[in-house]
Amino acid sequence: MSMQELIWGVVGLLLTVMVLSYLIGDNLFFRIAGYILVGVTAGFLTVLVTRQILWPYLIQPVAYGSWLERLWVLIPLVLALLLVIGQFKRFEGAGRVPLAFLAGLTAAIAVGGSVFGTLIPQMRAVVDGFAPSSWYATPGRPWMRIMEAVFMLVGVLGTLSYFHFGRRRRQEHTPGDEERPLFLEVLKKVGEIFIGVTLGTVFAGIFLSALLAMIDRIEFIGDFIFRLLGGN
Amino acid sequence: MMSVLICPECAAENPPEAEKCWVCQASLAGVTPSEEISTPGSDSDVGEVLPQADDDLTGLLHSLKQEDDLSDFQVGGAEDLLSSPEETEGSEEQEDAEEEPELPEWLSRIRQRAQTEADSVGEVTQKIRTAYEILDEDKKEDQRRQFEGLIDKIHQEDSPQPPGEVTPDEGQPKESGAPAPSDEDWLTKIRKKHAPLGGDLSQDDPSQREGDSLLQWLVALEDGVEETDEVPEPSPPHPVEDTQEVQLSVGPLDATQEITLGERPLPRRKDRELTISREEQNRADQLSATILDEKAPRPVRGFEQTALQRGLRLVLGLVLIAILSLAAFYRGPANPPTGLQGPHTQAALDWVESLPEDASLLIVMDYQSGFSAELAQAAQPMFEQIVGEGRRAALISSTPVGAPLFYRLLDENGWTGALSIRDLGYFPAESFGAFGLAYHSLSGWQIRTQPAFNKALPAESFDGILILGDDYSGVMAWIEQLSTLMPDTPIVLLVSAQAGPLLLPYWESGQVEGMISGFSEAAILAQDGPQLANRWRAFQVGIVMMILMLSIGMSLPSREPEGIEGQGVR
Repeated sequence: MSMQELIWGVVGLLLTVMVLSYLIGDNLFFRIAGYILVGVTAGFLTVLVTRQILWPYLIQPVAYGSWLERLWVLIPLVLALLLVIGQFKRFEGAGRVPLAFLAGLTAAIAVGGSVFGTLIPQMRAVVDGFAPSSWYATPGRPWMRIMEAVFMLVGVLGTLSYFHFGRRRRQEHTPGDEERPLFLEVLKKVGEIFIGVTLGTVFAGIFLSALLAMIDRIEFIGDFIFRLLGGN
Repeated sequence: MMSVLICPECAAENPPEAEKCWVCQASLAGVTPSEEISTPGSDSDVGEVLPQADDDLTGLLHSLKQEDDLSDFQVGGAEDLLSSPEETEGSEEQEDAEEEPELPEWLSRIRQRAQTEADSVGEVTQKIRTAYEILDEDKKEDQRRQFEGLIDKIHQEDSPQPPGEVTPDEGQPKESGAPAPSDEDWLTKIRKKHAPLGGDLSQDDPSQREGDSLLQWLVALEDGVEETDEVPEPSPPHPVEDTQEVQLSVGPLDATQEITLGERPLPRRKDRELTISREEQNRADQLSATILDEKAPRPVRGFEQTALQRGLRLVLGLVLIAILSLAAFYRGPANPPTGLQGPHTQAALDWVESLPEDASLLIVMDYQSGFSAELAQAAQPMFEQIVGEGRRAALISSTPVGAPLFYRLLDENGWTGALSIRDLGYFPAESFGAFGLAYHSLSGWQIRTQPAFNKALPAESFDGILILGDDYSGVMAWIEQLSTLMPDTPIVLLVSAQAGPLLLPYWESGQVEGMISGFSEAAILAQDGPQLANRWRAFQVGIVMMILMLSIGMSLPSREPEGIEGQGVR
């Protein structure tokens, strides 16, 4: 084992034990490990952004680029300066310009992606399940494909019904007006089942991911100690 | 009767020889002596009628009223007051008839008959008239009581002693012409309150000052002016001011007097019918409960645990670590599952096997360090097929540690140098990075003067896109942008177990070519090896342990810590 491996192995072992010390409650060692994590992450991010974003995309064009490139870079530079100036209370209005630019751009990209990348393809997938050609596309039992398509459609409608909170507006209230139609109530109950199964699956996935991370740490500690004692 | 001097300021009675008012110290120079207000048996009568002393305001008003009635009695004669309403009305009509000589003869005969014959106007008409008169009398009596009550309230505020307690002055008979000072203080206070700032009350002209209508009314009564019984109801109090404006109609001296009231009368509001549904009522109740719950005092919830809880958690944690360690380092046989991969996993394998020799790939790194073990396990079977001579890969990261983790993955498996890597750098936002990358590679036109960072992005198309992610939202952003802008480029996912279930619909819809999620699916594809076998054994033991702990935890009765009762909306 080289010195470098030994040092970093000891550091890794100590940090792992410090984090696991949370088993006895919040303590100084756990906090130290947390502070180290936050500090190292912030420092690493600063260096990364400076090296991979600010230097090649902003500083380098301004310093060594042509006049046209400098004009191009002037746009983000002005927006960044406005954001910095906006931190002062007297000029806080200036910070709204880059924030509005960023929010609008983010919304445009996110909405476009959600509509054309998720909503429309997913709706099409639900409908395509009822196409007879898809039932015989692969060898197997067609009625299973049909049942699968029906199951998917019921799940989609039930989930959407669960998030339906609309009411019919009426001038006069009569007993029973606040109740939704029966078919919506039934679909809502079905949707609750689908949502519950989905959340349970996600919860189990998080558990499995955490479990494997823990096994990895245990293996690391065991291997390090084994190698420290002279094993191969 | 004894002559007295009526103070023009406060209407107090003073001896004839007095030069100043004994109440307000106003000058009495030039005041003409007048007879003292007294009626036969007034003291005893007032004392019988009103519970207060005869020197209070109510008694004064009552005596004035009686004197006024007495003067009417003396002028009009006793027969007018004692006569029936029909007769009184008949006499008035007779006077009107005398004033209107042009009345036709038939009308005069009717009126004469009505005066002489009791049933000349008909029984029904008489009953209606009688009912009107009774109502009129009741109304007048009611208004009088309201006015007296108002005056009593003013008086009680002026002398804030508990009801029923008799002061020495009240217990003794009042001397004529010398009322107690406290009896007139209320009027003085009112006048001082509404007097102009800095003004001298004794120097002002009483006739020019506003707010003296009560005094003027008393003086007018004394001078023989007919009073008006009509007392309108007080207007609703102003919501901000502490005063209430009461308009008193006092005959020719209509004025508005502002009187300070200690107790505001409740505004009379007409009850409006409110119709709400049961759901609205429930929401209102819920909102009320929430507000009450938010305002309810509660101790700060601490994170202190009992020694038993800490000990139990420590024991369980150590037991879990010990069992996992035993399972991980036990050198026994282990049989990782084989041949049970799902269709999406098989599709991913099929895609990677169909890659050309000189394939150009885009590798997206979108996971954190904590998931490196799981993602490395999932990526191993794929990268064993990818790495090779002539293959090229462009690396783009949307997490800060993406590039280091990728190089570590290559280094741990001995693939360093086996793949031509082009690092495109770090893109902080997945959506922006994916959109910019896809749009740039698809755009047929380029701006010659655009900065270098746009030129750095690859303009050529890829044979496939490999996304390694630990989180659903980040991977979804890449899929949304790339599947829309680059629909012909196949996308393969290598994701964690927590992101896999939510990303599976993208494979169902055909947007994703294949997917490997989590250690379970990666272990199926991985080749046999001692490390994988040990890890798989520990993984299975860990799952069983967690299921047991969850079951035990759910079966135990939950105990709410003390001091947090009522938290949250129930």
